This record gives sequence, structure tokens and C-alpha cells, in this order.
Amino acid sequence: MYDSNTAATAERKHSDSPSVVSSTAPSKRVILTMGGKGGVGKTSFMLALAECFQSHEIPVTLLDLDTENKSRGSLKHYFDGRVTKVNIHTAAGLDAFVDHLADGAPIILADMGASSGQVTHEWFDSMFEDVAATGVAFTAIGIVTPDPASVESILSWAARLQDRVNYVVVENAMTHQADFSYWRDSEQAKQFRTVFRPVVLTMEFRLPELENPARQHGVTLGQIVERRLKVPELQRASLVIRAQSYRRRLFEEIHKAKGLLLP
Amino acid sequence: MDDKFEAILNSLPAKEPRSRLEPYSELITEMRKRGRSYREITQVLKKACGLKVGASTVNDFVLARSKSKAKASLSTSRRTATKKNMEGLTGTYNDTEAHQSIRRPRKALEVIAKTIKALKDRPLKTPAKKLLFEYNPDEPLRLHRNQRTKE
Repeated sequence: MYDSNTAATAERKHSDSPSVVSSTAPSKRVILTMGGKGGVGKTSFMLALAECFQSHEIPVTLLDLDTENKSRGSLKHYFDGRVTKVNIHTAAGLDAFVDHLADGAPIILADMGASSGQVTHEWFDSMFEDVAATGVAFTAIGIVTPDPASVESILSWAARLQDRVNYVVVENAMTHQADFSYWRDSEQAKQFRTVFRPVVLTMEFRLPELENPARQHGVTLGQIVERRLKVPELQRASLVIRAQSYRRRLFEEIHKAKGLLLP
Repeated sequence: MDDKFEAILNSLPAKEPRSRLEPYSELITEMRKRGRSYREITQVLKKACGLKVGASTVNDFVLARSKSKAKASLSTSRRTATKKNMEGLTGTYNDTEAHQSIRRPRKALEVIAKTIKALKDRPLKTPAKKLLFEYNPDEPLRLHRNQRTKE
């Protein structure tokens, strides 16, 4: 039976057992969100990940492949100037991964859009073998919420990606007492966990008075903590402390999956 | 060939060229090599030789000649290749020094035969890898709660 406390030991288990991906040490890594279900918090987690790498001074290349999310809520909205917008609905598909890695980036953070499944799966079918042979590893980030559709989405992706990627699943508590029954107790999700042994992280519920203005103005938790903003509703001392607290705990969660997030 | 047939063939009158352009074949070929267009060639033929033909006729003539040349060349190379293959595989055509140089020892022939067999036995496509995880999106998620949750 699944136990949420297994998250802490998941990475250790992963390293103890034979890898489900490549046995050779990768030199570069592409971290991509498993798009499919919109509004589950893919971009929020990628933002936290980008900030975490930034805090450790690890260079990353940010790619916004979310063609549906035009402005607000997209990765570009938060990191404008540092984010490359990529249209994956072309013949070249996700070849942008290869080009950016060739330019020297050791890590790519790719925020996939809600309708990116088919293109991504086809790209993996045709390109994975040769790209992986150059020392590139892939980590797929799945975000689950109490909504069963979010679980179905990552199971569908996993059925196509199989063991060509490592899996990190983030439980995003979108409400105060989130119920993850469909993720924790469904037979299909259990089978997924048994086969791929994903590292499971938690992203706790955030107060709407912090989350909503942050989204509206495109600011990260780090920017709120540093008080560099001219947004009155985000300058309240309690919210700044809240932001700092969320950020610290989220970084601790991310740290649990470092083996699957670093090259 | 039989001497009788040879005599018959020799007695036949020379066949008239099928194309009016035949006498100018060398000139046309040279002009094409020098990058002249078919239209320009027709103008030269008209002015210099008094021959009035269309550009498409010249085009057909050049194509027909290049095809027949290619056919003759292919035929020659096929004959050569066949002979060489026979020599290489059987080692029987060893009457000249050149042929002797490409004779293969028996051991080498066995290696080639093994390579050919291995290539034939190799499957055309890598068999599809067994899926580690299968999921049917049309089926609802089946909740399977533990004892503690049921209570």
C-alpha cells in the first residue's frame, strides 16, 4: 500500500535498485513537465525548480513550450528575458532540446503545454535513442492534484514514455486538506509506482492572498522574499514570511529528488 | 556467326540515318557541352546549316542518344561485373594474370558465406520492446483502499 512517507526514502530506493533508464552517467539533463492536464501547477513547480537551481548558482536554460498559455501564468511571464519560447508544433518538434544542450547548457527546464502530449511522445519515439546516446538524460515531472484527471494524465504519459525517462511526481495540494485518493489508492497509479519508482514530492497548499497576486503580477516566491516588488498586496510582513516558509520547504522537497534533477 | 549469314549482312545497303539531325550529332553534342540551349542550337542549325528544326526535336534527339549511350555502357559494365563475380565466387576463371590476382582462397569464401548467412538470418526490425507499464485511458481509475482506510 502506498504511504506518503515513502517520498523521503524513494530516492534512496531508486539508487539502491538498478536504474530503469540508462546505466551510463548522463552529462546533461532535460527536465520536462508532463503536460496534459492544464492548471495543475506545472509552471509553479518549474518556477520553484528554476529558483532552486538559481540559488545554487547552477546554470539552467528555461524553455517555455506552452503554446496555449500565451502570457499570464506561463514561464515567460515570470522569467521574461531569460526564457525562450518554443513552438513545438512544427516538423522539428522538440529538437530545441538538442540545440540548447549543444550550446552548452547542462540542464534544460522545459515547461510543456497542456496539449503537448502527442508531439512529445512522437519526438521520443524518433529521437530518444540517438539523443540519449550523447549522454542526455530525461526527467519527467508529473503534477497530481485531487482531481483524478491529473493522475490519468501522468499515467497516459508514462505509458508512452516508459523507462526512457526518470519520474518525479509532485503532489500539489490545491486545497487546505487535499485528498489524493486517486493517486495514492488507485490500482493503475500503484502499478505505475511499482514499475517506475518515481520520487514523490509534496507542494503544499498556499494561501490565496499570496498565490493570486503572485500569479497576477508574475512574481516568484524569491522575489517576494527579497521585497523588491512594487506590489502593495505582496508587501505585508506576514505574506513575506509565508513566502519564505513555502520556498524553504519546497526547496527541501526538491532536494529529495536531486539525483533525478541533476545531470 | 555462320559465314553465309555474315555474307548476307555485308551485302545489305547502308541504312539511312533515322534522324535529319544525325549528321550534325557531333556539333549538337558539343554545343550542349558548352551550355547552349536547345533554342540557340536550332538557330545555329538554321543559320549555319540551313536546317529548320524545332527545339523539341533537338531535345528528343539529344535524349535518345544519351539513353542509347547509357544502355550500351550499362550493358558493358554488367558483363564485366558478372564475369568478375563468377571469378571471385568460383575461382575458375584463372587463365590470365589479372584473373589470378582476384582469386579468393577457400577460407575467405567460407567467411563470406557465413557473413551472408548471418545477414540473411538477422531480423528486419528489432522486435518491439515489451512495455513495462500499460494504461488504458478509457478505463476509470480503480480505487483499491487498504484495510485502515476502509475502517
